Amino acid sequence: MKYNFSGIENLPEFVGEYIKSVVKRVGNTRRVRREVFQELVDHFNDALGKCTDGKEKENLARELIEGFGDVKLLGVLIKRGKKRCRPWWKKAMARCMQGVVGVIVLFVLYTLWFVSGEPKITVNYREKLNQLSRPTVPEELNAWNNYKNAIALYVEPKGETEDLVHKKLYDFNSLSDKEKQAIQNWIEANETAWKEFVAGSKKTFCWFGLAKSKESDAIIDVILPPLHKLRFIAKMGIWRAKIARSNGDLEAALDSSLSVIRVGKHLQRKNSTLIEQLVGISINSHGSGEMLIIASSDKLNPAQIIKAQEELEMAYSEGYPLADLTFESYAFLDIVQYCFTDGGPGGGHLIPAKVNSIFSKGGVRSVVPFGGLFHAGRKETVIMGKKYYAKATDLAKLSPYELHEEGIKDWADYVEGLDSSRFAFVKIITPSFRTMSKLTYQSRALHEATVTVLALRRWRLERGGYPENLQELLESGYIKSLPSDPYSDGPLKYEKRGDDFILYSIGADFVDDGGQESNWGKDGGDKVFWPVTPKKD
Amino acid sequence: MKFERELLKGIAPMVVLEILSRGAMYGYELTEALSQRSGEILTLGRGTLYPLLYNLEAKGLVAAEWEENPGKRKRRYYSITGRGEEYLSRQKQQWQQLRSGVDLVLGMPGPTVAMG
Repeated sequence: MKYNFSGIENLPEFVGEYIKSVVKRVGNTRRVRREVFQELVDHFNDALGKCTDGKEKENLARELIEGFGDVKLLGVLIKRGKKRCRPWWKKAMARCMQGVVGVIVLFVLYTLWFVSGEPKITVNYREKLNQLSRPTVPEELNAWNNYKNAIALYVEPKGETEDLVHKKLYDFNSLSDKEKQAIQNWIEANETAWKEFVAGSKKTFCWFGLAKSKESDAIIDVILPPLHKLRFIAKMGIWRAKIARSNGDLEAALDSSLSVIRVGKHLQRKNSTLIEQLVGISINSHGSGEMLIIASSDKLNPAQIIKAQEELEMAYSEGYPLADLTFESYAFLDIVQYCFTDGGPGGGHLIPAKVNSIFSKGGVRSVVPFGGLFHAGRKETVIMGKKYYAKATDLAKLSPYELHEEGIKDWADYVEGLDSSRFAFVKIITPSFRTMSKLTYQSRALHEATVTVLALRRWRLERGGYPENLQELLESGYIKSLPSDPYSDGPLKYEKRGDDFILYSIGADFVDDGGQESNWGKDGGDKVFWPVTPKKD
Repeated sequence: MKFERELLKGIAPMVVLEILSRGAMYGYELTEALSQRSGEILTLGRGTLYPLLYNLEAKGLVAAEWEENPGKRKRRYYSITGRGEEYLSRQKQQWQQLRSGVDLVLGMPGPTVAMG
C-alpha cells in the first residue's frame, strides 16, 4: 500500500510505522484506510508541531503512541467504528454476504452429515421371505430339489443346434432331417435332466431359499438360481412334444406339454420374485401354446383329451395366480434399510453413496448425489412405499379391462404425492406392475382358452360338430367356468364357423375385430387362440 | 489524573459532543479543547478518541468532513448534528440526575435534582 499524503515525512520513522501498523488492521476499503491514515498523521503532526528539537519530538511522539495504545486494539476499535459508518446499502450487502456464507457453511455441514450417514440393518428380510415362502410340508415334496438336479444335469446345445433350439421352435416342419437329428441328439443328451424336470413337475409344492451373497445379506444381492436354465429345459419339453407329435405319439406330446405347464405353475408360487413369476408365465405360455397345437390333431381320442383337460385344470385348481407383490414389498423395505440411516430427523435420511452402490449393481444411473439432501426421510419413504404396494396389490386384482374402465393409466398417479421429487427413491425402486399384471391376465386367458379348446374338441368327438355357444359347453359340464377375456367384461369370444370355430380375446384395443389375429391387438386386431395360427407349425 | 476506563467510557460521548457543540473541530484540536476545558482533569485516551468519533458518526450524532484551509493541511472536522444536540441534551439531564444521586450517596454537598 502506498500512501501519498503530506505530513508523514515530518514524523519520526517509528511513528510512521506505528500508523501504518494501525491502518493495516483497519481493513475496510482503500478510501477508509487512507482517511484513517491521514487523520492519524495529522494528529501526530499537530501534536509534534510545537516541539523545538528532535529529542523533544521523539519523546513526545513516544508518549503519544503510548496514549494511543496497543496497535492491534486500536486497529480493531477503529475498524468497528468505521464499519458502523458504512452506508445502509453496504451494511445490507455485508449482511447478505454473511448470510450467503452462513448458508454455504451450513450446507457443507449438512452435506457432511449426510455423506457420513450409515445404515442400521435391523431386519433380515431375506430370511423372513424364505420362511414365508416355505410351506410346512416334508422336504421330499419339494419340486425344487428335482429342478435343481435338472439344472445341474442340463446340457446346453452347442453351435448350430443352439440356434435351432432357440430360433426354430415354432418352425418345426421346416427343419431338415439333419437339423431334426441334431435336436434329437440334444434331447437324448438331456434325458436325465428331463426325468428330474418331469419328476419335479408332478410334485405339489415348490420352494427354494434365497441364498445370501458374499457381499451382504441384502435382498438386492441375493443369488437367484439359474431360472433361465429351467426355461431352456422347458423349451426342450416343447421340442420333445413336437417330435412326439410328428412321430404320432400324441399322448407323449401331451405329457411333455403338461409337464412344462406344471413347472411354469410352480414358479408362479406365492411370495415369489417377479423374475420367477415372469419365467413361470413364459414357460406356461410355451406349454399351453403347444397343447393348442396338439389339440388341433384329429388323432386325439376323447380319453386323451379328458386326461389332458383334467390335468390342466388340476395344475391351477386353486385358481390362476395373479401378480404377487409380497416379495417386492419386502424387498422395498430391505432396500430402504440399506439406503437410509435409522433415526434422526425424518426417521433417518437417504444415503446417496448407498443408493449409488445399489443402483450401480443394476446398471442404473443413480439419483444425483445431493438428492439425498432433499429426499423425504426414512419414515415418510416407508409410508409412501407401503401405500404404493397396497395400491398396486389392489390394482393387480383388476383385469386390463377393469383398469381401462376405471381410467387407470399409471399406478403411480394413484398414490398421492408419489410424483414428487421427494419420493424419487420410491419411484425408482418400485417397478411398474402394470406390465406384470397384464402378462398375468394374458397368461390366464391362454390357460382358460386351452382348457376350453380341449373341451370343444372333446364335444366334437363325442357329439359331432361344435356347440352354438360357450354357455352350452358350460351347462353340459365340459368346462367348469367360462373363459374370461381380460380385455372385456365378458368371456372370450366364441363363434361356430363352418365345421370349425373361432375362440379369441378382443385384445388390448378393447375392440372386437371379429377375430383378426394381431397378437393381443394393441394396435388393433384380436388375440386368436383357435384356430391355431399358421405360424405355429 | 487517570480515571477508571469504564468510568470515563460512559461520559466520553457526552463530553465530546459538548465540546463539539461549541464549534467544529478536528481530532487533535478536540483532545486539546477537552483538556483545557476540564482544567486538565479529563483527558481522552487517544486510542479512545478516534474509535469514539467514528461511533458517534455512525450513529449520526456527529458529521465529519474534510476541509482544506489555505496554507494549511487538509483536516477532518467533526461537528455536532441536530440529532447529536438532542442526544447531548438528554445525556446532560441524565448526568445531572446521576451526579446528584451519587453525591447524596457519598454524602457530598451539591445541587439537588428531582429524580425521574
